[in-house]
Amino acid sequence: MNDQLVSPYAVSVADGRVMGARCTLCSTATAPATHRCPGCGGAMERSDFASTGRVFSATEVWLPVGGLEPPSVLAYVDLADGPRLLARWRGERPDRGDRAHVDVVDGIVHAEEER
Amino acid sequence: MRAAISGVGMAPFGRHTDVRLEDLAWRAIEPALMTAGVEPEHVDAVFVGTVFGRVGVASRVARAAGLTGAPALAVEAACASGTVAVQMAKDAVESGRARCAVAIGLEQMTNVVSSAIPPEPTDVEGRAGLVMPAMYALSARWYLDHHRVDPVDMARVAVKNLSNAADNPRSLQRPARSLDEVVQSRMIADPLTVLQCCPVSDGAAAVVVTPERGESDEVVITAAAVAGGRAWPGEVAEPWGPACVRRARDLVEKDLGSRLDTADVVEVHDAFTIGELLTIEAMGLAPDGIAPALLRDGEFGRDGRLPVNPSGGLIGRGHPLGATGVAQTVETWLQLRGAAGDVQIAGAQRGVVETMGGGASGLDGNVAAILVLDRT
Repeated sequence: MNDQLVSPYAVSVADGRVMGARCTLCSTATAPATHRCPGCGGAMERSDFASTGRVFSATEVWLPVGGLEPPSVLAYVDLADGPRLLARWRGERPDRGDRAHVDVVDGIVHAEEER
Repeated sequence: MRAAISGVGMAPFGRHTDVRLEDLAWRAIEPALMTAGVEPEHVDAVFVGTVFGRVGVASRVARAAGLTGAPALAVEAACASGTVAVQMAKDAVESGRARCAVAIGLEQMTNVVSSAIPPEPTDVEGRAGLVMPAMYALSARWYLDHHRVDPVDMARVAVKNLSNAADNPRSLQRPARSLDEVVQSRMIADPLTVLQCCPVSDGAAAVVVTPERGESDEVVITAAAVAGGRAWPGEVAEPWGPACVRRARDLVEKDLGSRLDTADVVEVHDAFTIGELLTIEAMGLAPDGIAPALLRDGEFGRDGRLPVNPSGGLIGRGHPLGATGVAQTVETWLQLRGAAGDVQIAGAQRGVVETMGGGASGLDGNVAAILVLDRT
């Protein structure tokens, strides 16, 4: 895969789509893109994903996260047909399976309940 | 030819902020060489498991201990660094490249970390602020919800391990705690309270690995495996970790020719309470979702069916990252030699050490490492 397709460390969103890559062999999705598939080593192609999905797990953290006053909520969000992203959650801790919408602020993934 | 652990040593875990790393290491290396009856000049391979060690740390430690001439290499595999160092010493001896190898686990972290380790900014999840307790809390929230387990039953891991540590002078000196105290202690990352998290500490441990001599009462490394991480999420809907441990288990059970539940004593990676439960299940020592019930019934206590972390584990002993895997090995060696003191499991013949290194996002682990030790 071309180096240009590999983002720096941050996840990026363009036109409401999460930028990344998908494996041409096993369909594993990554964001930011990887050069090869972490699941099977296969070739990746540039792909973008919906910015909505469901909560896999979430926790309320009572340590300063990114210098923020605690508590913070962190959640894994499984994008629909896309990768799992770790996000800073806006609002009360969601439950597994709750619908979520993600966006990126200053290179950091945020999420909230999908309205 | 099998590799044997012929000597062990451990510096007391705790706060050693102002001690030179070379001096902390020597407090483990010296007794290890002495119990093995080995002089530094006989050592021809040195592996130092460390995470925060600075450039050249292995060479400086080797120089101060007189272990010069042999390659002294630093090994970093997150929390499993020390365990991997032991395996590399075993491989060096079994292959004939070394007649005597020393594995050292070493970490001084109280001078760089005050509570949780700062997340790594070049890691995509680290950027978002995913500290280790939160990473394990996300696993715990999933596990408790999926298996409908009461958080109180997870907290029993800490009660058991702190109680074991209170009887083990090699562990951090902290009091045993009641279930109420563990559950009511300060929340760190829901559902993990502070007493369910391993404490930051400094420490060193060392083992000397030599060819088996064929005598009685030796401790041999019968089998060993390190599995690397694969994509997470993977095929099974589950937290990060178990799939990587299962791969290490498959490798080591093949090497061993029998299951890990043939062990008499087990030391596993309980950096957080949930870690012990997930690991016990991934190692095939309990069915999925059942470890908390077996724990509640006392099966993993010192007088239970299969004692898990009789040393106190990481929660009880403290978790100086690179030192942990070697300390787990030392504790298991002491068990098999009948020298574990008040935490001795009577008649232990086989011990298993498991350590999980994690933190790189999008993987089911950095590495999982398992060692099987037998008394001859």
